[in-house]
Amino acid sequence: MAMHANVRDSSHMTRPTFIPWLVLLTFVWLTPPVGAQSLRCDQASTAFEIAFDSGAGWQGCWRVDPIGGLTLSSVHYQTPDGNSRHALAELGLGGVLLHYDKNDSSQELLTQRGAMITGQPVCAGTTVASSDSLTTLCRTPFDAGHLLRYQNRQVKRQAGVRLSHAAKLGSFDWSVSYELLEDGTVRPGSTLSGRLGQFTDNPQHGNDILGADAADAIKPFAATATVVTNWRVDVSIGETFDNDIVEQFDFTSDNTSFDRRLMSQQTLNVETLRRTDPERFRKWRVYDAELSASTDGINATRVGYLLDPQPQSYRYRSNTINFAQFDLMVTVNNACERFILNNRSVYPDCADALDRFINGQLLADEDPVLWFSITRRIDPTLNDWPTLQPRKSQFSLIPFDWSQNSPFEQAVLP
Amino acid sequence: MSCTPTQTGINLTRLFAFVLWFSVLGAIQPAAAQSNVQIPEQAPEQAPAPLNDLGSQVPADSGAECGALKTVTQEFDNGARWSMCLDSNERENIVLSNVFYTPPDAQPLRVFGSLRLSQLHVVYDDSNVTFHDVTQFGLGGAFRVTLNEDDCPGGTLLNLNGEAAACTLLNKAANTAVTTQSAPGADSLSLFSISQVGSYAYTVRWQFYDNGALEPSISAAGALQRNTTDTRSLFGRVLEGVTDKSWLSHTHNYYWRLDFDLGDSGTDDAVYRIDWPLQPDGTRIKTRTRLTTETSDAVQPDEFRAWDIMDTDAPNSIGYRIEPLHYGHRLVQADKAPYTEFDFFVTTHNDCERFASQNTRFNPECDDSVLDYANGESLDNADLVAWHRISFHHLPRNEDRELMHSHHDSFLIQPRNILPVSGASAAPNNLAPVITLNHHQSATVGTAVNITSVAQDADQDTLTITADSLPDGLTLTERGGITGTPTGTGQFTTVLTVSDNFATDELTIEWRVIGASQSGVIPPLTLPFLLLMLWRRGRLRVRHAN
Repeated sequence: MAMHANVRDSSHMTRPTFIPWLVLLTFVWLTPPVGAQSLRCDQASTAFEIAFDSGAGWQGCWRVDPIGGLTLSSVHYQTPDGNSRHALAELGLGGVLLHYDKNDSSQELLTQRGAMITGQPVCAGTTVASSDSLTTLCRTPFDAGHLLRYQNRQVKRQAGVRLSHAAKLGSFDWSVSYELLEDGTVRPGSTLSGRLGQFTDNPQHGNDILGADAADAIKPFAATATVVTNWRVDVSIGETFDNDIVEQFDFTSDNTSFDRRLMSQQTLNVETLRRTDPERFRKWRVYDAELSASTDGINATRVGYLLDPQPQSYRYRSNTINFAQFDLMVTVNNACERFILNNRSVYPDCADALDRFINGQLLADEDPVLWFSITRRIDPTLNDWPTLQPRKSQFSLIPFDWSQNSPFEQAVLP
Repeated sequence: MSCTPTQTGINLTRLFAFVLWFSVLGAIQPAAAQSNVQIPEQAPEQAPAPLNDLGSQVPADSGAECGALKTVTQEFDNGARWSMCLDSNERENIVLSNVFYTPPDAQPLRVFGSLRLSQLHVVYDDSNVTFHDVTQFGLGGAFRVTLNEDDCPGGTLLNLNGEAAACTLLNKAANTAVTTQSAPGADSLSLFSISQVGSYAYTVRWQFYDNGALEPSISAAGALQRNTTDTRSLFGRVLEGVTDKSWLSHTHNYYWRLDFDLGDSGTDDAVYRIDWPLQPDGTRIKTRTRLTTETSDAVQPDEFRAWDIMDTDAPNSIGYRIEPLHYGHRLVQADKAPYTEFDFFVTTHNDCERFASQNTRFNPECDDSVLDYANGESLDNADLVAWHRISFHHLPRNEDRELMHSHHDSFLIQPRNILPVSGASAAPNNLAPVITLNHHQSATVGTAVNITSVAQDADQDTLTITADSLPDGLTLTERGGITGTPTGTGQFTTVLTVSDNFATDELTIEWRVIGASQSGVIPPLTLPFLLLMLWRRGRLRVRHAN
């Protein structure tokens, strides 16, 4: 905001006249424009804003961490009626484990190599936003398909914007994306492509895909591998972060002939490691205690986000990494606890690995952080040489009881 | 398995039993669960005409030949093409047949004899009601929705039986940012139809990618179907603003029937189970088991289980892989619906084995569920059918009232070895690494050396670097540099070798390591002494400001 002040020689200004002007100017500068969300990003981050035709929208900050890659912070979601609320304090990668089948252990790619930028990133989308000459954020609108569709009513389709960034992880091309949907859903995702990184002379650990190039190869088989992408998710609802509560839902069969599914809710009170349980449809929710109904139990409205592990399928197990046998971890937010392995190489004063972050701290009155892993396989075929076909993994954070009902119903009146 | 029809027409006994069962079920509920929409029951129809068994049909050079059926063809920018025949019926609605994929610069390859959704099995957590939507109501006929332009923005509406019944939509590549070296995201053809069954609007979609992949999917929108007046129910939730009802949680089980007919013959395909069990030493070894008889199989997340369907008669082991990538929910009802214990089935092709459950409603001479079909018949020289299911459990939230936000489930059928090998291009598949270090290097004892990189690779390949006989105190780093602090003077010869698995570069480096006193640099400890000497001798004056 430009400020113009006729500054007189201070010797001619009496104190009682000068101070009110100073106070007034300060007040004007600090007060945000009426109707605008006040969003300040730190020096390393750049603000973004997304507005949909329905009135829904997103605001937040993005940065490219030299180790972790594209990271969002201070993310707010606004419903179509203009109600904006803080949703995510931070969302980014906690680590990428790459375990070649021929090896007895994995490597953590972020701390070893960093999400470096090389080459000239190309955005297939429409808008490119840059924070400086070294980082390029691709911002791509897309149609996310039907949101509401019922009998003869109007169709409501949903829009989304994908924020993405390209990087290199070793020989791999690595892309991180965050899809921010009109209905408040957030979809973090990653895509792996590029060049195969390892070869082997043992056909039990690789595939014969090199074709004519095999004659020149020292090791003729393209190595197979497991890739585990771990996301660090700091869901923070509302303006107070230390009143968020993490819940686990299970739906357990009563083992009678009716085979009913009894829902149970469990508040997670202490830092913990959890597994998915597909046959119990296990899910997790983070909600804001202050914004939620005072009643307890299943029917209470809890303003929050649901992490549904539906996209989790394979389970990575390691003989050397204890926490790898778990799918979701919950810790108290600690700024220096950022990477699942080799954390001390970046933050020397902190614990080194995710299972060391979990040390019995109580979650009550703290800001909880979720760590969620998705596992994928690289089993190369002829189609993956010389360029690896893209492998994508993605999950959803779904707004849960964010609104009293669907905020888009007015768009599909009969 | 063979089925001999013994009767045709409506089976009244079975119909009566069905109605009676529902009446009994309704009578024993303590707090009656209610549907908010009356779902008209359809009488079972006559047994349908036999499915189109392609058997040994040889495809024309353009791909699918559909006769009276509608043909759908899509050519992509990369030169690939998908073509297929489209039909609709009252049960499954969309049925695709004679599905061909043509890779770029290659001949058409038949992939599927037919594709269809074979059951939509919905189970409520209170278990009072279970729906089998395809067989109880159907996705076609009166339940198929007439599409409009809002359903199909930028696409093409396809008329079937005089109404806009399906949409085809060309999707451009998923536009994540990629570097110039990576494979672009694939363009795809989306073909879908929408069915309104009770409160639910199901979008059944088939997405065909230009790289040969296929993604079957279902989106469920509409409104929540069932609730109970027992607001203390543990089977659902009371949603904001409606305090007298608890909306019931439920699971959708989707079953797809995939009649693979790879290549010229539909009877020379083979199915393999792929596992990677963890070995005691921490490695993994692939186990590839050919399924020689009809089989019911379950996911094995710890072993990364997947299934391959391969054409045994083709070079390069072409085929497709089904990877269960969305298995965070999995409904198992061992007593009530034993077929739910399994996630993948392979059976021999049989016209009357059509639905994953409730098959006898329309094919009374055959077995009732896909579990029954998989009864151990030999798969050798048989036309194979694969069946795959996905579960999705829905916990109602406020946003699902009055109208439910759509939820989406899918899986990927990925090609293996079908695209031409990229070596056909003029560009080499590999560029050799190059050592960038100068072959004369010098260092000083006690002074750190930090060479961040010794080589470059234009392909950004992972490099294997060895260095023979580095000076004492120096080592190779994981990132391909040389660091350390030399400890001894002298001349050293290092043989540096860099390899990207296909090409190697080698350089002999001559090191000259000198002592600190030879370097011309004043050692730190001697510097204060030197300054003191100069000052005492008047050679060093400090100017003071006035």
